[in-house]
Amino acid sequence: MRDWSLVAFTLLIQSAVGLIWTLLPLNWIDLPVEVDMVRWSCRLALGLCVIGLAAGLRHLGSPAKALHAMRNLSCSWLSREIAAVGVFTGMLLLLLLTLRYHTNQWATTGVALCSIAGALELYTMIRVYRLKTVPVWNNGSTPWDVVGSALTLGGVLGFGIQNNFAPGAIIVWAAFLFIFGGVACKMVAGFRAVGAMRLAKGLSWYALAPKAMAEPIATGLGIGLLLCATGSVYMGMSRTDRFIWFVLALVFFSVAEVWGRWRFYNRYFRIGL
Amino acid sequence: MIDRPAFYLDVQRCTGCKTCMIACRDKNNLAPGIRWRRVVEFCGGDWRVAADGTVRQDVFVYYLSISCNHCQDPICVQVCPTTAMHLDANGIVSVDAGKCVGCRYCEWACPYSAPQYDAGSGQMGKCDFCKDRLRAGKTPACVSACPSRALQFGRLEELTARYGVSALMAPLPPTETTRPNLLVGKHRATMPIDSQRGLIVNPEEVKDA
Repeated sequence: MRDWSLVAFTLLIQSAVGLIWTLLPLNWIDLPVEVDMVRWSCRLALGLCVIGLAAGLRHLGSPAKALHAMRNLSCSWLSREIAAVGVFTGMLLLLLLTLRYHTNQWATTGVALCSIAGALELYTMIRVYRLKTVPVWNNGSTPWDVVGSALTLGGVLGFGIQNNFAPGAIIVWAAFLFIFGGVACKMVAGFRAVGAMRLAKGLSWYALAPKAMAEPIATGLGIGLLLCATGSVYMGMSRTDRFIWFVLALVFFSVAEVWGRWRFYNRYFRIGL
Repeated sequence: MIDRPAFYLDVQRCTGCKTCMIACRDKNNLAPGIRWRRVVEFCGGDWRVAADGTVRQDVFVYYLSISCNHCQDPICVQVCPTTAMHLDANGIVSVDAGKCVGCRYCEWACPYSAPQYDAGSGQMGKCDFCKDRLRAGKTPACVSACPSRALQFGRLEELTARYGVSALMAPLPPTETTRPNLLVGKHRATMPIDSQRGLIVNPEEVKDA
C-alpha cells in the first residue's frame, strides 16, 4: 500500500475543501467582502482539485477508462467519491464564472454552496476507507484524520490568501481557528489510530512513538512560522517578508500532512489472508 | 453449466504441494507474481513442559488452498466503482476487462486476497471458476490437478449435504463477512478462527498489498 498518487489526491482535495471552508466566516462576520479574495481562493481550490484529479488518474491501471468509475453509484462509495469530487470541482468553476459578472451577494452564496459540496465530498472520502475488512481504517480515526487535514491545510492556504488581501483582519485570525481545529482533530485521530493498530497488530505504544512524533513537531513549527507571518504585519514588514514566512510555514505543514497520510496508508492491515 | 458452484477443501488431505497453484497459472497463462490460487501454510507450536517434567513439542502445520470463493455477499462487487467486478447469473464472480480501471479497491477489500492486479494490462484479474471448462463439462483446472483429491467442487448445497458445515479455522476470516461459497474440512490440528498460536509462514506467496 505505497502509492504517492493517493497521498497527493486525498491531500489536495482536502486542502481545496478546507480552503473554501475558510471563506465561510464571510457569511457571518460583518466584513466588506473582498471579491478578489474569494476569486483567488476559488482559483487555488480549483487548481488543487485539477492536480488532485490528475494524481488520482495516475493511481489507475487503465486511466483511459476512468469515466467507468462512476457506474456504481448505487453501492460503491468510491464511485460516489469520484462523482462528489466532480460536483465540487464543477461548482468551483461555476462560482468563478459567476464572479466574473456578479459580486458580493453571489460570492457568499456560492461559497456556502461549494462548502456543502466539499463537506459531501469529504464524507464520501471517509466512507471509502471505512471498509469492514480493514479494521485499522474502519474506526473513528479516519473521519478525524480527513477533517483534520482539510481544516489544517485549508486553514494555512486560507491564511496565505487572506493575509495578503486583508492583513491583520479578523478573518485572518479565523483561519487560525481552522488550523487549531484541524490540529485538534489530528490529535484525536492519532490516538484512535494507535489504539486500533495495537488491537490489530499487537504493537506497543513505545514502538510507535518515534514515528508518531514527526508529524506534531512539523505541525508545531508550521504554526510558529504562521504566527511570525501574522506578527510581521504589525511589525510593518513588507509583503515579500510576509510571503516568505508563509511559504516556510506551508512547507512544514505539508511535510507533516504528507508524512501523516503516508503512515495512514502504511497502516493498511486487512482481516483474513 | 453448474449453478452456484463452490469449492470444497479437505485440509486433512492437502499436502501443500501447490499443484493446484501451478495448474491455475498454466491454464490462465498468468504473469509471474500473479496467483489466482494460493496455498497458505499456517504453522505454529512450541515446546511444552509436561506434568512429569519431560519436554514435548506441539508443532503443527496445515495448508489451505484458496482462490476466489465466489461469495454470496461479495465485498469486491459492492466496492467496485465501475461494476467491472460482477456476480453473474450462475453465481460466479468475475471481472469485465472492458470496464475495469485498475483502481485496486477490490484488492483492498477482499479478505481472501482473491483479486490480483496485473501491471501488464493495468487491470484486476481473478479466478473465474474456469467457466470455459465448466461449460465444456470439465472440472476446473485446480480441481483436476489436485493429486490427493483434497480439492473438489460442486453445488454448495450438494457439498454441504455430503461434507457437512464448513469448518471455521485460522487464518481464514469469519464467514459472515462475505458468505463465501467455500467448504473447508477440518484438519486434526485446526486452530480456531481468532487463534494467535500460529502464523502464515509464506506471506510473500499469499498477501497482495
